[in-house]
Amino acid sequence: MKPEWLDAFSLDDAGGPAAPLGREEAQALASKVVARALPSAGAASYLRHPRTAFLAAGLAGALALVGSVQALRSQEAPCVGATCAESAGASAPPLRVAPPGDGRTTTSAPPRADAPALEAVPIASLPDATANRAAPARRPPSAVETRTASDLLAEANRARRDRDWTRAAALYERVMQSQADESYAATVALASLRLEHLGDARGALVLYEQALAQRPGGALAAQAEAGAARCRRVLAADERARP
Amino acid sequence: MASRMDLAALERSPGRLEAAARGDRAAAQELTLELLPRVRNLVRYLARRGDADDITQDALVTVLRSLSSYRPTGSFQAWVDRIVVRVTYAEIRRERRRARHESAEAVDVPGPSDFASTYATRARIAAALDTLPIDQRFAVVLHHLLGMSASEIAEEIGAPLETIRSRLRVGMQHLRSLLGATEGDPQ
Repeated sequence: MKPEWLDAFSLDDAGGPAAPLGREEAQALASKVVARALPSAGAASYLRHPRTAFLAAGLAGALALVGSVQALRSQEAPCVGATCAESAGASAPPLRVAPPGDGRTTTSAPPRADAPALEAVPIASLPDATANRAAPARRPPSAVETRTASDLLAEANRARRDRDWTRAAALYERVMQSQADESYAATVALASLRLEHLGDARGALVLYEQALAQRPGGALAAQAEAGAARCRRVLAADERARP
Repeated sequence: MASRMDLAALERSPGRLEAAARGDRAAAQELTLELLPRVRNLVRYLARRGDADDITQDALVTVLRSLSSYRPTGSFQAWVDRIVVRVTYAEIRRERRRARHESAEAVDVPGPSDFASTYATRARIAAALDTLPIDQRFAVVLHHLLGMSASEIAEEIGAPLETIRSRLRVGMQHLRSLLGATEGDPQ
């Protein structure tokens, strides 16, 4: 007999398992992806030559201010396509993809007659998407002062990725204090961090409840509710374990 | 739904893909937004929640940078899925090497009564998948999510068929023990 959960085990653009993403979060994430994939020549040159950046500090400060305003405007752009949290989709058509593996496996596997004709893209030949992680851009002091909440959120995410939980938590708190749109996502992220890595289920529960109160039915409500439930289970278990 | 991703429409209008491949930022942004929901879901099936958003970004960056190599002789969706699977696999292996000596995080599979929705069920499945070794996880996802048979996975990976069957069998046994219900062995 086929288990019920196996029916839900499918892939489409809605219905999870990734937590729903609001339009602002989707726009911000897409902007980051495009910025990494298609960096502007001017920005790249500026970041690679910090000495010249200091020589142009005054101009850089002005540009950073303009850029910040533009970045904020871009985050307010309307939802495009199917990225809104409320979007729903049909089941994906049957898929056949090459399995994961290294370059050796990819190039040595014989083509199947029934496989769709796909362009061979060995992982070794793909651009290194993680390259930007290893070399964080150096900024002059004037740029630091003009960081937006979006910048701080990105920095917090980098710290979390690097498993620097304490620094990530401090940065998420700064985003929350900014009262910007990103504070909602930062609240949920900080709650998750406290629950999963900082051993602070009680503090995490407060944050999850704060996020739910801030945006009832918001894009991250399901994640916040699940997180709050986990916090309560952890706290209950702790309570039972007390002598 | 009006906002549903329509990859078939993308393939019918290759001009948009070409524009994104040429570096048109607006086209790249629009394409990324359309790919984002499905890519996030696939990555979450393959990776832990804490890593999923970062890997999603990496996968989408790779897709954008690789657009010039795409030829419309096959499904664009399958091409994207293929890149996503490979980037995810590479990233997980890299993370695994880095965290080799770190203890595994405790995984809490939500109870069935927490939510009554597809999202909740899939979140439970993903949480259960989090407990599988990477080889078992990828075998299970490729078989049950992407529709590949055990022999096809074995042929593509270059691993013995019995190895793949074993990974599927053990992986599914583990999922059943966490998620409940009965089911026959995978084919």
